Amino acid sequence: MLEAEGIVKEFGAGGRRVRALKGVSLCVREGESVGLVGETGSGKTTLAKVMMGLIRPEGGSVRARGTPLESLTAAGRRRFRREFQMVFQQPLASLDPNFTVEQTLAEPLAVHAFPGDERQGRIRRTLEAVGLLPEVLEKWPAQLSGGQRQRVAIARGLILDPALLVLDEPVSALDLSVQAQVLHLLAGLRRGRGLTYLLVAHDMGVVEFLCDRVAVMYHGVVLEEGPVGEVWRGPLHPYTRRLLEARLPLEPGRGVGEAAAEAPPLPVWDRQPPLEEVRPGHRVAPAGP
Amino acid sequence: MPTAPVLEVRGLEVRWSRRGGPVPALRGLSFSVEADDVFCLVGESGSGKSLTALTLFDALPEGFSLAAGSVRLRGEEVAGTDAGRRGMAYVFQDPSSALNPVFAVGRQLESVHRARGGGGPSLVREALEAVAIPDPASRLRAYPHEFSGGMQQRLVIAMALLARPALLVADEPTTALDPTVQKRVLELLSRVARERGMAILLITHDFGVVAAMATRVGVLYAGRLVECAPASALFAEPLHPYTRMLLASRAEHGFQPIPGEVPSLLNPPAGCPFHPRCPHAMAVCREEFPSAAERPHRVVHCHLHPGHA
Ligand SMILES: Nc1ncnc2c1ncn2[C@@H]1O[C@H](COP(=O)(O)OP(=O)(O)O)[C@@H](O)[C@H]1O
Ligand code: SF4
Ligand SMILES: [Mg+2]
Repeated sequence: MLEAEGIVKEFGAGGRRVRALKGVSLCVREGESVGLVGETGSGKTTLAKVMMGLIRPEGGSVRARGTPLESLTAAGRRRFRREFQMVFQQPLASLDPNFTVEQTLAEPLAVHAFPGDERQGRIRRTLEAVGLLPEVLEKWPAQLSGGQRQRVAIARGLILDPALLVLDEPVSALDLSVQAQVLHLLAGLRRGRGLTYLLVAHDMGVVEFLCDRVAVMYHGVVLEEGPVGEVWRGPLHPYTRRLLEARLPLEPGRGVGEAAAEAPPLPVWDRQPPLEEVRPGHRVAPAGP
Repeated sequence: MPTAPVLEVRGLEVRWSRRGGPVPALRGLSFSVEADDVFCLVGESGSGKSLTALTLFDALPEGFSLAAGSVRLRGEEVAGTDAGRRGMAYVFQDPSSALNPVFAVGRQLESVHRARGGGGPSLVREALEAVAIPDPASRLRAYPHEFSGGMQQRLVIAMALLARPALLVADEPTTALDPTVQKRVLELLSRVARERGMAILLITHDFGVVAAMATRVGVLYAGRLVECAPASALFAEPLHPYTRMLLASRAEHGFQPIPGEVPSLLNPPAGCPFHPRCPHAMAVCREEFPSAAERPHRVVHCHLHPGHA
């Protein structure tokens, strides 16, 4: 449904160029939910934005339903913008402070020229789907709680009835006691609407809860990908293993664990290595360059 | 005679004076930290974790003031004075805010060291060795930006150790770090605390960190300490509904949702602040904040657990 192949993306200029993506490929099939995990700066958000056509890569190509983004017709582009939506990492920063909730939700409908008489009904239904009451419509982002803001951001992503939603760290900015609510909301929306998700997250529990497949990124490359349960229970790449060992379980008295504490940093690849298929759908990169 | 705890906080009240009239920000906090404790203060944003820490250092932000309460450091009253700064050291969430970008780190460590009475340059090297910074001699000439986030946090911890504090107050020290780095910094903290007989007051919102580090835990909600217990007891048998529901909302328990939202500082619910979200709320919960029920080694404020009459 959405496929990235050999994506290269660099930032900066001259001697200070950073290669954020080094030839990465990722495929999201219709109806599935794919998680993208990795540490800060590994390139997750950049890859998601490239796949949404929000930033242009230096190399590689993105295809939506088989058509490369750059060869979409004007009508095809409009359809892509409607069917593929992104919910950004910071709900406060991604909502315009000068727009009320109603204006925030009405804007995409106006941009995509929805008939005026359909707009109110659509806004009401979407609000209900994300568990917000109509009274929030007149409010400004600053008047909302963190959980309400994230629901508004999700509502804006849903208002055009998309087929695919990219969710960048959808709960990490939320209060602890509100995270589970939003995760259940996202799981319910996916079931109810048959949505396809591409989810960026650093929390493995979140990925296990919402995703079928996972890809593990490290310094601009994908090192392992496969079914979530299989990768989490039988990680093949040393980096995936290290990520899993860094989890702190909810069991007191075990301490932090010291064995892996001072392990040397893993080598960094300068280009995406080929992945070897070890089991059906479970692919892994060699341990080092 | 039993020795005094390293830190003993009693009835701490902090007020926020704003145009609309003063609002309470911390209400009647009491807890103590013993010499071999890692006391974890857990809570969500706005619950008062950082305010508690800032109160200990007499460093409350503009508009906030200490209205009542006692803070004893090894038995000596330090509330409302900067005396606490001599026996305690502070490590923040963001290490870069504690380091000056324009000076080499060696110079910064030396000046902290001198300000605290000095005692030979070997102590600076020793502090760096304690936090496992490789090749400390050459790293001393480097500037903060030449260190990764994890290494910067080690430098800040090294700086804190130079004060030879009886208590290290660490406010979300690993929240900004990646999980693999977090694990190393936590391991380092617990090792230096053990080696130096230093107590830790660790502020966090992450129950994984609590499980790994804590000997005792205090749970904050809306400026109130609602439960305080040894870590093993808290995880095995949380008494307060908020604690129980918060643990159940984690991945390990299938993300069971808690209804409602975190209350705002401006209009906290009357009575028990958790009542609008609590499935066990009774009429009395809307009226009265529950008094402390003392159980062996633990305290809980909840009408389901009445105190001794
Ligand atoms: N707009 C930008 N300008 C310059 N560098 C950027 C920009 N966006 C991302 N980067 C760099 O690209 C790399 C990958 O970043 P990002 O995709 O945000 O990672 P993640 O989402 O995994 O944390 C990092 O080194 C980051 O600093
Ligand atoms: S005091 Fe009442 S509302 Fe508060 S936690 Fe206990 S039962 Fe729930
Ligand atoms: Mg990101």
